[in-house]
Amino acid sequence: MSIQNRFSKFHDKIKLGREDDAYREARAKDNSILDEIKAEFRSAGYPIIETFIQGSLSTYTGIKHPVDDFDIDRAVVIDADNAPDNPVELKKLVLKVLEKRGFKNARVKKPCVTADYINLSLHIDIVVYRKGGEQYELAVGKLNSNEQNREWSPSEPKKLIEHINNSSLFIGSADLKIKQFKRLVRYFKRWRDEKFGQAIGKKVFSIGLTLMLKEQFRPAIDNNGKVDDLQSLRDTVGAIMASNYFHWAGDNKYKVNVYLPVQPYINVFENSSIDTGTQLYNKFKLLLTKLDQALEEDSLKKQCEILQGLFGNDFEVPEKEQSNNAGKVAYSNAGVVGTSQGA
Amino acid sequence: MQSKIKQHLTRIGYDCIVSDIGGFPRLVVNVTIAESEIQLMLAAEPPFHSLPEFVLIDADSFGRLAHVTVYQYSGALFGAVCVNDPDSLSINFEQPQLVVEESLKRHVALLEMCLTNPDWNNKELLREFYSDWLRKCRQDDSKPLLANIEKPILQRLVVYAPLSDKEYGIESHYMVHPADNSFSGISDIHLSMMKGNREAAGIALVIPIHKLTPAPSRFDSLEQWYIDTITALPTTIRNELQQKFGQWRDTTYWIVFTANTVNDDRTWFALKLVCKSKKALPLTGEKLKDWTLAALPIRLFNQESTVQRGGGRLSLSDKKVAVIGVGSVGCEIAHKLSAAGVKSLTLVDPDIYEINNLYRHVLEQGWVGAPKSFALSVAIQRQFPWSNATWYPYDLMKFARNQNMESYDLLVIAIGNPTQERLFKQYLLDNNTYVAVINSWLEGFGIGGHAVLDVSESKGCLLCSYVCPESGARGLVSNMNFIEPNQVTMKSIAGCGEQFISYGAASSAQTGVMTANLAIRYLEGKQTESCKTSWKGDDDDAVNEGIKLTHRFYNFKHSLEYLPLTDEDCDVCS
Repeated sequence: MSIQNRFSKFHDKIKLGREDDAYREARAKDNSILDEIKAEFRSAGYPIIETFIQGSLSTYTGIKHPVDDFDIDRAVVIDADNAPDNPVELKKLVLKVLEKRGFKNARVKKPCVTADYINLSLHIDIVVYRKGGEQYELAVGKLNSNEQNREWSPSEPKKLIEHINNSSLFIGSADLKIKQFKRLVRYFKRWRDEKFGQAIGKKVFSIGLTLMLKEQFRPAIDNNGKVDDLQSLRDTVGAIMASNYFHWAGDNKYKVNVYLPVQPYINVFENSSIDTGTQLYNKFKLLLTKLDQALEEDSLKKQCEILQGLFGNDFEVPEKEQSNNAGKVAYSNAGVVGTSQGA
Repeated sequence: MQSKIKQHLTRIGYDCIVSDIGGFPRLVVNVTIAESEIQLMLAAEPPFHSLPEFVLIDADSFGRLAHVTVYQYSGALFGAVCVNDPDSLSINFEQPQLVVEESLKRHVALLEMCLTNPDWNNKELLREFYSDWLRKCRQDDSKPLLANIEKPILQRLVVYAPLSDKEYGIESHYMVHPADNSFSGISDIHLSMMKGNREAAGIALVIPIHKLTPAPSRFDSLEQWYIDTITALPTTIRNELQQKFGQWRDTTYWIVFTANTVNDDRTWFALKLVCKSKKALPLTGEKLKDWTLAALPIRLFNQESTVQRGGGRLSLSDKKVAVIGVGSVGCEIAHKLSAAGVKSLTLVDPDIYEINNLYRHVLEQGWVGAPKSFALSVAIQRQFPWSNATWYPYDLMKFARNQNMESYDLLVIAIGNPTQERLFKQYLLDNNTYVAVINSWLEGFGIGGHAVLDVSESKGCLLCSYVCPESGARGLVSNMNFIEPNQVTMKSIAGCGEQFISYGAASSAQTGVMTANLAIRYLEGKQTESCKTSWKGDDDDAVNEGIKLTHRFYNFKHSLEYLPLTDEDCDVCS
């Protein structure tokens, strides 16, 4: 069994998609909450014209967190011609629905309305946009924000999703490569959850990691078409470290900067502390060292031990050096695959 | 130009003159070889598109020389010197002086060998015996006597006359009765005998010569050569000739002589003896006076010579091979395996040959409506006289359940159906059946083709080529493919049930030839381990159709090489 096979099993353990069983209840809640928000907006005279999922579920990069809640990032969109000047008005409507549905800690944050469901491991972020033509504008502002701190801010949420999902620049096996990229995003997130304390970990934003990975992704597929996630991880981390995301802040400290590639082109880590940047830099460096060690290691068991040290117990270590695979046939998950074969 | 050539040859040291020969100014080069003064005349004018010939003046004064054909021109004897196979040289026609210089060097070198090394000269004369013999043949005897003779022993065979209404084909030749009974029952050779519409034209006697002398030259007497040859036969052969065949009287005899030339190479050549009245075979000069002799071209064909002359291997004749799927790829495989000498070929396919198949199949139009496997078995036997191809109108799994797979030396599967191929592999595993299998397929748009050799109990199997490149699980498509899965690669002109993969006959033939080569390597014992091989075409058509290609395609640089098959994640091989 190859190290790639081990990565594949690890990935199967940590991945989370909207259709997964583990997510079923959260999805049901999301659907029913969305129905109520739609009704609330309609009766207030702001009919919702579009709704979509944002975040990791839209880019197929979600992972199960061993402790924290499931996240739902739901976007609702109203017609710009019909929108109130004050965007907070709409966020209040969302807040009202969430409070009525028994969420705790429901509050209006600057970019969204956020809440936790009481009886379910579910954290929900709802963002509101207005749309005129093709332009989306985000409802920005807190409950008590004055006129200067609330606005309809130009935004490109769908372009961001497209950017992350885009595989058109890969030459050959584009599907394999984009899937490898997304597995790497999941590995990175799990590494972050394992290696950072909860407080700092929450500040190492998933979107920041995802964008760095997307920009520096180095696919690794051998000439027989076999993917190699370990090599790709190492090469991608190496490329991240060799680029200019980390700015020297003196005294062995770093500020991390990752810019959105779409409107509003802001630095994702604009408000992050030097401590966050420094920890991220140092842990990336250590990650690179460990990945190099894993690559140089001949023993599969030792390789897995190193990787378990990085990604936690979900990355399994075989009991023996060469696990006996006899009788353990792993079949394809697909029922049918279209092929190009003929004769 | 002649003066430029003369200047060039003179400058590099040759003694050249221009002389009037046959009313034309000719360039003549004087050279000395083994103390003999030799004159070589340039017999061609620029531009030179082949190596210009020099002819040897007074050719008869040097004795019999190998590779020199003497002829008469303008009252004198000249020798045409053969220094090369005309097609094997690329001529610098832009530099005629250099071409003449090179040709002259080759002529001088050859003549030097002939004149200074009599043993070599004699061996070469024997080596080219048949070429010289052909020069003794009448030009109107252009069709050779076909002779199916297995052994070079004294024997009597029947000669059958050609059919007068046949311009081409086996039946348009005089033919010596086939001596072996291993022909396909539907080969022309067999059928032309079985039909009974060919008349016996006379008797052929096969006479082995123990000590061959050079073929008679253009000016030598064929009669004298015959008598000399008969006289030189060992007494036992002469006695046998006399006793066995001396009592027979006839007006015509075909004598087929055979002898070793050089390095155990064997030559065969024929004489036709005709007399006005029936007489015994003449064995003396006196008795030969009533007979007219004519040298004949002959084409010997037996399994050994014909298969090997075609590049086939006799070692493959006892191999038992099944080709399952005789579509555009499989028909090429079957054809090439037969051409390689595989006699026992089993062709398996449930499909009917349709008019849609014509432009990428080897079968003729006349087979439309026939089972493909049957039609191909007939076509192969019709082309390859010693083939005994058989056929089954079965699909792969029916064939597997109805036949003993282990009775075959090799199974070649060319059905282009990954589901059936994997199912069959599982069937072999479940039944502990050990047989070597090649799976062959191509992909559309001329992008390439693949073959996998799965040798039982060696590293690597078909399922190695189906290991999912991401997860290591058993996949559903081959990881060797050049086209990404789950795309619309089928074309449809007539709707449901009429879809087809777009590729040309060149692609299927290429895949078939690649697979046949792999099969031959395995059958010959040159490839003992499981392996895989692919050929890669260009991506123009695929890109135009918006087809996405794999990483393997863009990085593949080992077309037609035999690569290891084993995958460490294959659950069977691990």
